[in-house]
Amino acid sequence: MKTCLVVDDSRVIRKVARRILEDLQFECDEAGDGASALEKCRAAMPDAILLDWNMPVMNGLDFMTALRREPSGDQPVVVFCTTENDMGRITEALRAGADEYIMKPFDSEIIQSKFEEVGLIGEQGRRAS
Amino acid sequence: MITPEEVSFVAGEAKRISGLAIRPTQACLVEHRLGPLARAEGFETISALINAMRRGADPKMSMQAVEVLSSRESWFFRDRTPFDQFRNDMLPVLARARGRERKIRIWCAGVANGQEAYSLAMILEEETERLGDIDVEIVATDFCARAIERGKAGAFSQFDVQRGLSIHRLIGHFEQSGKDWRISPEIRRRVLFQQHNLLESSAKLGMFDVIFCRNVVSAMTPDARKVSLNRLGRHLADDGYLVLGEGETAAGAVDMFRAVRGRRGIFEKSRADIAQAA
Repeated sequence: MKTCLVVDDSRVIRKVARRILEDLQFECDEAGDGASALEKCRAAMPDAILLDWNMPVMNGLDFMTALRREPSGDQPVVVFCTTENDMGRITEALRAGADEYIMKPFDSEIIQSKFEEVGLIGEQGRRAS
Repeated sequence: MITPEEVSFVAGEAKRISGLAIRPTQACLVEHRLGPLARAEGFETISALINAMRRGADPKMSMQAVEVLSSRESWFFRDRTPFDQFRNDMLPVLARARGRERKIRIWCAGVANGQEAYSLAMILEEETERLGDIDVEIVATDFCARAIERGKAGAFSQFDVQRGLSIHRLIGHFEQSGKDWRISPEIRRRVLFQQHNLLESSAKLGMFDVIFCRNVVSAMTPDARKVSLNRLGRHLADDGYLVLGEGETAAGAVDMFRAVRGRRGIFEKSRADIAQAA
């Protein structure tokens, strides 16, 4: 089973995302800000991170920049999930090392589609090549 | 609640106009779809709208009703596999086969809001280098005028652009336009939108090397399906490909097409048909 760390300062969003990800067969853990997410990653690198941008203590972008400098910090697939929907912000996140990007609001179809794009889940064995 | 007789009248109109099959058990669907149209057109009830269709005072009313009954949800790169096969199998084969003509033509029939045609156009844009100077034309048709208008506009909601599209394709091929995302001019100019009904003459469309017609014929009455598949067959080059939806078959025109082994929903012309035409 793959692991996913859900990082968001809203408990409600974490709960919704967690339920969707568990349906997609992920084992989930949660963090409420970038600093505690970094601690969790140091203890055990997850396969995937669903990452909010605007959070107290340490925001998502600063967290990811720090993560990518950690040993094995290049391994987790980072999927931003934020209300930031400006082309400039998206480009900034990708340049800093994000693999995918979800603009809130999201639903299970969007999470599934985006996780398929980065190979975290198969497309029911449909991909031809 | 509309009566079985009203459902049957609407089904007759759908069959006549677009070949869409509506079963007597689909009263709920008819109500659900026609309700908003009735309100928008100022009718008190759905029955009043149906009566207006019956009187035929405004022929556009039946057309509009069938348009909303036919409207289908779609998304970019829907089902993925046919698009991977288009890129990896069909395009290279056709590029070699059309080495002299330097032209490949693709028809998206029943294109709805344009996602399928634009998905193909994005692939072509990404394959520019490999295609060299081969000109690839995409003709996107639908019987519904409003679908064609929406397709031409190429504006999609934030929700639409997050299903089936990677973030790299979004930033590479779209522009932000208020709350919407608009397909870039480079992609838009690759697709020629044209209103066309599969039940009507198509002489002007010409011949195609690949025809995408997904999740269209399976919603039709058996007669309309047969007419449509035969029409698609007449426009398909002998070495071309017909791409239907996953799980759709060419039943109704089985003499014309044969399934490509191991490729769900993809059909070639049958040898018998090619021999007959020659």
